[in-house]
Amino acid sequence: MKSDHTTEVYELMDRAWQMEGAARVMALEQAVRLADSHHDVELGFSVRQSLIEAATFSGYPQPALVAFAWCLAQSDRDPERLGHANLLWQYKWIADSLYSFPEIPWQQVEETFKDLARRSEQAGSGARAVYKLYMKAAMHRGDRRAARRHHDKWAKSPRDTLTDCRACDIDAEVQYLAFLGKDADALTAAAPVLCGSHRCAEIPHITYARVLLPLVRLGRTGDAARYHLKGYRLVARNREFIREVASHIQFLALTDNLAEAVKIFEKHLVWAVETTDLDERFDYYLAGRFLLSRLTRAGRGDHRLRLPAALSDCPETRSLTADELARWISAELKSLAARFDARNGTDFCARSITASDKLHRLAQPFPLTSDRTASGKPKTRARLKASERGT
Amino acid sequence: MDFKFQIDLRGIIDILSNHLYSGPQVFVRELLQNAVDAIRARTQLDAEHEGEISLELVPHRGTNPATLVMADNGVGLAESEIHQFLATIGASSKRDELADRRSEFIGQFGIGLLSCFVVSDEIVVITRSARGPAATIEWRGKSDGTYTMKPLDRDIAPGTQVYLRCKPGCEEYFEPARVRELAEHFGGLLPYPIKVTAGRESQLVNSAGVPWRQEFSSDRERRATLLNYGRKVFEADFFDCVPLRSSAGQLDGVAFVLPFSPSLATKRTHRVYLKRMLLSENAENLLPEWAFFVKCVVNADDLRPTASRESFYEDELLDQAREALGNTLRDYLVQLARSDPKRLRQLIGLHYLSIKALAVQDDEFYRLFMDWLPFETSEGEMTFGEYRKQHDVVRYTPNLDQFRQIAQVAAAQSLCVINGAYTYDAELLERFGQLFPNGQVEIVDASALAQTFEELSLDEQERMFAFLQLADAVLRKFRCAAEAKKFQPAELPTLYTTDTAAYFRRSVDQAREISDDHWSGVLGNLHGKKRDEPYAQLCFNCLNPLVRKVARIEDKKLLERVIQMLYVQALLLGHHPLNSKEMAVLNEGLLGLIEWGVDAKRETGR
Repeated sequence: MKSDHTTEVYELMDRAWQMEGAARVMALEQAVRLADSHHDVELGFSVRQSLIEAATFSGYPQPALVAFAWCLAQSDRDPERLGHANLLWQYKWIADSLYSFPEIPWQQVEETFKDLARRSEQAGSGARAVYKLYMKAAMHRGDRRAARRHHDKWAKSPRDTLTDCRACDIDAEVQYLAFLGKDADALTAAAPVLCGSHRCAEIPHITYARVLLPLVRLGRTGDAARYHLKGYRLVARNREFIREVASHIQFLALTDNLAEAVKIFEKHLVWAVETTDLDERFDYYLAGRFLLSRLTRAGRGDHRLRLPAALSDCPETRSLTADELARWISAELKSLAARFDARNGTDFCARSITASDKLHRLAQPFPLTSDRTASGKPKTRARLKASERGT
Repeated sequence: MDFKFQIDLRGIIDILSNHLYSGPQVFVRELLQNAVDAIRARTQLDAEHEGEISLELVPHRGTNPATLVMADNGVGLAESEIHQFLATIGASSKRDELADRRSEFIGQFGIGLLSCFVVSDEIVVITRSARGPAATIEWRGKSDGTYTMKPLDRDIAPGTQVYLRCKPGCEEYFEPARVRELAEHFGGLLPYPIKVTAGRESQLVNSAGVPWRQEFSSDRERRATLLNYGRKVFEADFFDCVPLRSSAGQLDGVAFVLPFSPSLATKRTHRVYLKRMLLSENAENLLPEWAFFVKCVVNADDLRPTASRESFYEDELLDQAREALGNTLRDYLVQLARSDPKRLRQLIGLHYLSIKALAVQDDEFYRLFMDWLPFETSEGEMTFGEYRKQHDVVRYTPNLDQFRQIAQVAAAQSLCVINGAYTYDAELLERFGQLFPNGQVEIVDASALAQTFEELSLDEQERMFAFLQLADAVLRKFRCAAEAKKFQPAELPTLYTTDTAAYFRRSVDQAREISDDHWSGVLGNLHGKKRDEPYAQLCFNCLNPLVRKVARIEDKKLLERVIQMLYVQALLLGHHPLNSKEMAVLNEGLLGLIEWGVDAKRETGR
């Protein structure tokens, strides 16, 4: 009897790894339910470990969070049998995702960080990873002082067993410097990633997107264009990277590549609509709103955009004009900002919306599409290079 | 006069042999590379010059170990140049810097020579420069870092000879058969004749030339020749072959279509030559990601090798070359669709995953190929084209679980549903609606489907009223709502339907049950306003004879039990897990039914 359900669970897991993204997550959830239905805690634990990883790295933080809480509770009940070394490492991912749920009070976010700090101390690791979490949470809230404070503690702590890889740490430093508006420093910090000497499963994907705006602000649009072309490809097929896709859309809008920007925006809008990570949805809508206002300014406010079926809050029609969609997106943004700001006790999200309006003065045409074929595939990049030399 | 390298040569040799190179055998490649570079340099002085390379083996005799002599008639080295390459070796012991130096002829020469210390403790180089009148120089280097250098009295023809003495343990690299094999392996496509001599036997190892550059009298002949070549190189009977060419990177070669379906998880690797010298048999980064259905042999004249010289460096030029190769393969598929649909169907049977991967990112390709691609449906496997011929609306389930729920009733409902759970499938189906304004795509879930079942007539509703009221009350503790409708197949008494949101609420409750206060609080936030909504619906089928019979039971206690049992049975049918409450119901229910059965028997027996 036991071997029967075990075999079926493993078969489901095998099938899951033949799938991607949402389908993989759902197949693993199904395997979890099956293990649970046979009250097989050990098997349920091990399938959930896979689920946590798959969900985290394909942009589904909610099932990851729930599966993790279950594993943590089981492990606390029976640390001998279910004390998994991986659990602390996963705790880091989960803690990092908590503040993107506006329904979770800030106090609970901080208590979670403390709980992780306590557990990592027990396991003999230092506080470096936790300082990084505090720093990122402070940036999410727009709290510059706290971000500085935690950044400095983070930078001073030695690397330990719970420390992220070097590529990820470099990217966090770039994020921090760009957050403070130190664009030139951010690019210096990014150099080891941009030149390819440090990389991992998510880097340089994220870093390419991260440096786009700083580069435009520094007047190095040609370099930004290069990283856009390299970087979009890397993030285009994984929902984990909604925020990065948003940066690419913003870049295309800033450089007046509106047709390409609209194409990408339409294509990934379904991710933003469906995601439970509202922080990422906020960023995507913010980039979308900027793009739509570029369209309006270009006299194309009547351009119709195709909408995903999942956008049920929107009118029944599957398409809206840029102006109509802009109104809807602005309202959504406002309500998201209000939820986050109320929870965070700051006005950072509301200010981000205003700041995004000021991006228009940075906008400058930098054509990328001239050398593309009708199918939208770039034919050669030679001409792009020529125009880069021209700037 | 004795000189010292001023560096720890052993350290460098260690770096080269253990970290930079894949194995000792690469010394043959390095020697060939040096010879080729020298011949190219000489051809620049004299365009008519005809390069030649020879490898001669002298077997071991008495205490003298076996010796390998490699000779070329290239540009040779002057004394000052020898000093320069030694300086290069001494300048750095870091592998990145070593790699940078390889771009210049002299630096490359020195580093290439170093690799020979892996198989030989002493290297002798006799060389004479072809530039003007020059002396013949002998350089003798040892792996302990010392070397001597002196002019010789006798002159050789311009060029370079390298003598290697077999180091104990490296005998295999001094066997004639092995040397021939390695020379052919690395240099088989080189444009200068390479002769390997052992005793009286002399053999040219690269007489065949570059197979894909031969003149062919017909496409058929080309195909046969190249497939034969593929069989020789990879020991496989390929499905087809595609000539490749890219002006970026000055690259050409041939792609072989694999005769089996590759696993998504394994990396496809290729055999690549740089300037006709074998660079790697396992280069990974040559093709776009989607093109995992082929294995290639290519030569590039203008791409940068990585430090280890075993794959290409990721730069813009490689990007462009990759794209050009991707386009060639894409054109091949498009061409095949036009000229030989039957073969295309066979190819799709093997490689639909690759084709789906491309269709996801390339709209034009999508339009051409979508109809040919296979999908799993509730009526078995069919192509998208076949599906569309029969169904105006494309209906799919995003996951396996929904597919199973719906498959129970789909056929009887004359619905055909596609399982969108596999890699790329949901994305492709969703794309259909975006690319074709009239293409209707619907995500089906079992709950929504149950809503379309036939409603009961007023009379039927009346008859079922009490039953449903009781069922609702009984099932409330399982967070399940009861409904009654009429649907096919009539043999199915109930259909248990639920959706992703309900699963989620259920998983949250489950985790909260065992969590501490902190985590229970965190999870509690995730419920939102839907906290008390039912997880699921149990739809009773009024076309089913058992359900009709059950609805007439008047014994309330018995009816409660029967409803609970039907509920648990529906869960089991749909592979839904039972929680502790449901397990208890199953146990109590079975016992209760047995008791009831025995009691009934006793009553009738009395």
